[in-house]
Amino acid sequence: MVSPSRGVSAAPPKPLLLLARVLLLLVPLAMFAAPREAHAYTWMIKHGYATCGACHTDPSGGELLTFYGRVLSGEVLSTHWGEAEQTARGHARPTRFAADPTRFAARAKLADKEGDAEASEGEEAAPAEANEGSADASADAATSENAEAPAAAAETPTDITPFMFGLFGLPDWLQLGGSYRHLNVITPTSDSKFATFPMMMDLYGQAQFGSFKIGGSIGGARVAAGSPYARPAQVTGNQGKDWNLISRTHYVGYDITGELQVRGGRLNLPFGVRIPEHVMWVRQATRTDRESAQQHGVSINYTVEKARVEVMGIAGNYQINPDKYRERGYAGYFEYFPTPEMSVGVSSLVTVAKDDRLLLEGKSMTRMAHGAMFRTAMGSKTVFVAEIDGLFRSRHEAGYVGFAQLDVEPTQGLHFMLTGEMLDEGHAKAIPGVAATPRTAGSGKPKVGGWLSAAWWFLPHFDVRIDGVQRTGEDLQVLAQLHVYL
Amino acid sequence: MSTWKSAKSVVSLLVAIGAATLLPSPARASQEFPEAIQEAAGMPCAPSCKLCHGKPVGDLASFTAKALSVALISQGFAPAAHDTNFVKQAFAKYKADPNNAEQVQALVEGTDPETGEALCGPTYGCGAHVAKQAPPADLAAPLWVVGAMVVGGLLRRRKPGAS
Repeated sequence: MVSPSRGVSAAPPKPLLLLARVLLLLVPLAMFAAPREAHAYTWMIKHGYATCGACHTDPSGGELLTFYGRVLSGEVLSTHWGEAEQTARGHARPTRFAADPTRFAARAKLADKEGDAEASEGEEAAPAEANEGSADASADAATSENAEAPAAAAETPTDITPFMFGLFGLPDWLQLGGSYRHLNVITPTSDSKFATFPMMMDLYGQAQFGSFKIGGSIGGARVAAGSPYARPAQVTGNQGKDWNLISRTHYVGYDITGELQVRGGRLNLPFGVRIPEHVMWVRQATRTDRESAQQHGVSINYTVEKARVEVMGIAGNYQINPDKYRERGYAGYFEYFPTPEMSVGVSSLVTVAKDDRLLLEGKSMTRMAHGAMFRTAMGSKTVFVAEIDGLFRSRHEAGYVGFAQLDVEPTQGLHFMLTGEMLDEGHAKAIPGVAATPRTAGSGKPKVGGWLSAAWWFLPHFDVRIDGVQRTGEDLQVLAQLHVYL
Repeated sequence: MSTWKSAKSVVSLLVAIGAATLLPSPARASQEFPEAIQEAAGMPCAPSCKLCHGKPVGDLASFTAKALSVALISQGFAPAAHDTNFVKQAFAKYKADPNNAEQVQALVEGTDPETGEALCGPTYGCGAHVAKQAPPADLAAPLWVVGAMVVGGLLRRRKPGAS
């Protein structure tokens, strides 16, 4: 593409313009750092947020942020610039800014209790400055019907980052968000050393009218026909390397009570630790990632102070054709919180399809995964997360998959992570008269992997991340991402 | 000053960069091999990774698991190069060998020449696959019936007014 101004002599650039131009050149280089798939950061447990519904419209976490989630993302997720400002914000977690605590169920109630105690320290230091976004935010809070947030209108969120950074005002009943993730893949030892592409371009939304809600996501993706990604979420039907409209989730829901809600539509499968790394084996082998593994069905979620459970009846992914490839069954988890900073849980998944869309055996496939998960804060800066699942498939030996991750946050917004993972999906059982396939790492033999990662939320709703990934039998990969949440 | 205001200016810059990078370069070229094989062999679909890797999600280590991939390598294909042109060139040589005619025909039919298994999996997307029910070939009879009912109804309504 040729710029119309190309070749025309211009006036000397202003300093800001010059800076912007320099950044335009430098930022792509900086993109060698970055990402995770959407959000739902499991290490938020160290802030006492063991459950996810306070910050996300999905009660099990991920994607669209609630108003409260937007407030928290500025308060506890990203780096605070300037010592004075940081001191002013301190740990005054604005737990009472919740627009409607019934949406957040038990976690928000617990947060309210904590917030009452903490607010006495934080209120004194709360900045008086109110920008347009925060004014909207406090208006949201002021119009809340719920009496459990009486102080909402009296306080002003200090660091709310509204939708599209305030370019659009939203009515109380509507929550919108979006994500752009750009990924760079560097494979130093391969002939193909570098690839760069937009990994995620999604808009999310949810409208809520009383207890009734309707929401979903819409985005674009362009992947090769052989790619395992994006295609199961396609709305449009291009089968090659063309752009497609995708929708990862779309649903209607009803809050039966503050703690109990039912949703129907295309939903994230409730299984295991909802980590953002969709390529981690625990999510890939169980087919429970939030990249494109969602399924259509009906889900019931119940969250109280000490536990949460979600069970989903899976009707199949109706964005895959024909019907024989659709998996039907259930997925669910139960998680118990002995303390606000620790959780133990179990997950289970059983699906049946007339044919497996990846194996293409032309035979019925029953697929099961059952496992356990654990999360705990180890002090104020460190979180440990782990999951182990047994894998069971028709005509295959039993297998397993697991991961353990240590996350250290030396200063707010900057995370260093060390992750180990292991996989053996189970070797195909021998069929009489057919030559047996050899056992390989990951299929009949153990396969291990290690991740060394750094992530930095350098501004509210901006983060970069870099991962070094080494797995058995694979080239070293360096993944670098930039993420903007709208 | 709240940080989101400063973020607002940064986002403009990033959106511009994002727009520039929306012309994506290929990811792992190996993900494009199925389409290259489809084009070279005249297959009805981009085949499953099982054709060359023997498993649904292939990697470099498993590329020699099947006879076709070994044959393509013998024709000069270097999988590590991640170049789809190499696939097409190697397959053209493979196809030109009359000893491989049966295997090539199997691929044209969308089956694995080694195992006989189907290589064409599901299609993705919803709207493009909802076929409309074909209308009846001859609408004359139902139209006559509907027409007669409408005329009859009109006549009945006129009668009270006329009287």
